[in-house]
Amino acid sequence: MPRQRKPIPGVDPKLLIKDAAKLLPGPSRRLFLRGAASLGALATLTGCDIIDGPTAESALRVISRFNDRVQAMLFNPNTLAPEYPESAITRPFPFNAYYSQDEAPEIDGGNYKLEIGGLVDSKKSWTLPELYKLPEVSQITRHVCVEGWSAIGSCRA
Amino acid sequence: MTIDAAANSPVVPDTAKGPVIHPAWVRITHWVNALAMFMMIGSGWQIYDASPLFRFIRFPPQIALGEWLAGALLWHFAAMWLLVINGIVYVTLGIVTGRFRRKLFPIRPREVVNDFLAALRGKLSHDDLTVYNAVQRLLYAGVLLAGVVIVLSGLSIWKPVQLKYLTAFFGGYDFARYVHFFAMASIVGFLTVHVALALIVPKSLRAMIFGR
Repeated sequence: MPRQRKPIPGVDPKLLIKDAAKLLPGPSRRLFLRGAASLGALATLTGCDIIDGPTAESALRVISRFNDRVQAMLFNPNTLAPEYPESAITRPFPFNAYYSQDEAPEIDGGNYKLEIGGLVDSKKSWTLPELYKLPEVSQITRHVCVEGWSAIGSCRA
Repeated sequence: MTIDAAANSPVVPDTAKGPVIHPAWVRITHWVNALAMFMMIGSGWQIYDASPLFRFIRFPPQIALGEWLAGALLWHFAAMWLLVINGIVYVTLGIVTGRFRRKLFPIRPREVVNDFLAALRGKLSHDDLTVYNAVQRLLYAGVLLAGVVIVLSGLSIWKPVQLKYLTAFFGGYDFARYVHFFAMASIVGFLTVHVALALIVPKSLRAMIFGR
């Protein structure tokens, strides 16, 4: 299935859940995937328990794709999220994690590689020094979690 | 029009052959809306549970729709079409046919108080279902307003970037969630009373099904 990735101004719950939903194409695969590492990413995104959804979901996903087309028609993809002053940053910034802080794996910065996959032009992997050399931009915007909560953070890329 | 004639007749006989109380478009949009509300509220409860606004309010999954957050979002964003398109048809016809003006207005506070007290004493007449009493007028107009608020606040939390002025109008993203929640709560409160009274006065339920 062809996938189109559009730049996401701010965090858009609808697009986020669309991506999350794509990770779980069907109940059988979902069962297979349960507990697998790839679900870790989904759990990180949604922070919710993975429960088998009803089969109605596949029909609903057809409507969801229709919604995507309607949204692409209605909305301007270049609209930027409102920016905030540094004083507006939420501290501490809430987040969902797949594991608690003490369970976080130790990573050797020297060997670290960021691997890029999916529908991108360049699939080169990146080492930390290479990443540090990239030009930096930062933006203080509201992060809207698909769960409903939101927090203002400074995103650096 | 039939409705005017009905409004002028002193007493609607309690037979199947009385005047039309609810024209077909009211009955169709009413039941489509009931279905849409069921889906929107049920899935909304499931979505709410992913990040509750109040520690003491959580909706058991047994009474919610969608089983998990992503499933509930799919329901919510599918049923929204039914709710909004049906709502637009209903409000347009309600204004164009003059039904809203005729049936819901005027709403006079003194009459509302009097009718409310009469209802508590069990003395409110239901002989003529074509005329709404003052409490009904207030509640029906109020739930229409809640419907507008819930759709607009819903849009503002669905698209806080694209519709940032609407989101700002509702006091920002976080506050708009509370607005959306309390609009839901008022609609559920209305439904509780509405369904209870429809069951207490069954001929009103019959009128909404068969029109008379």
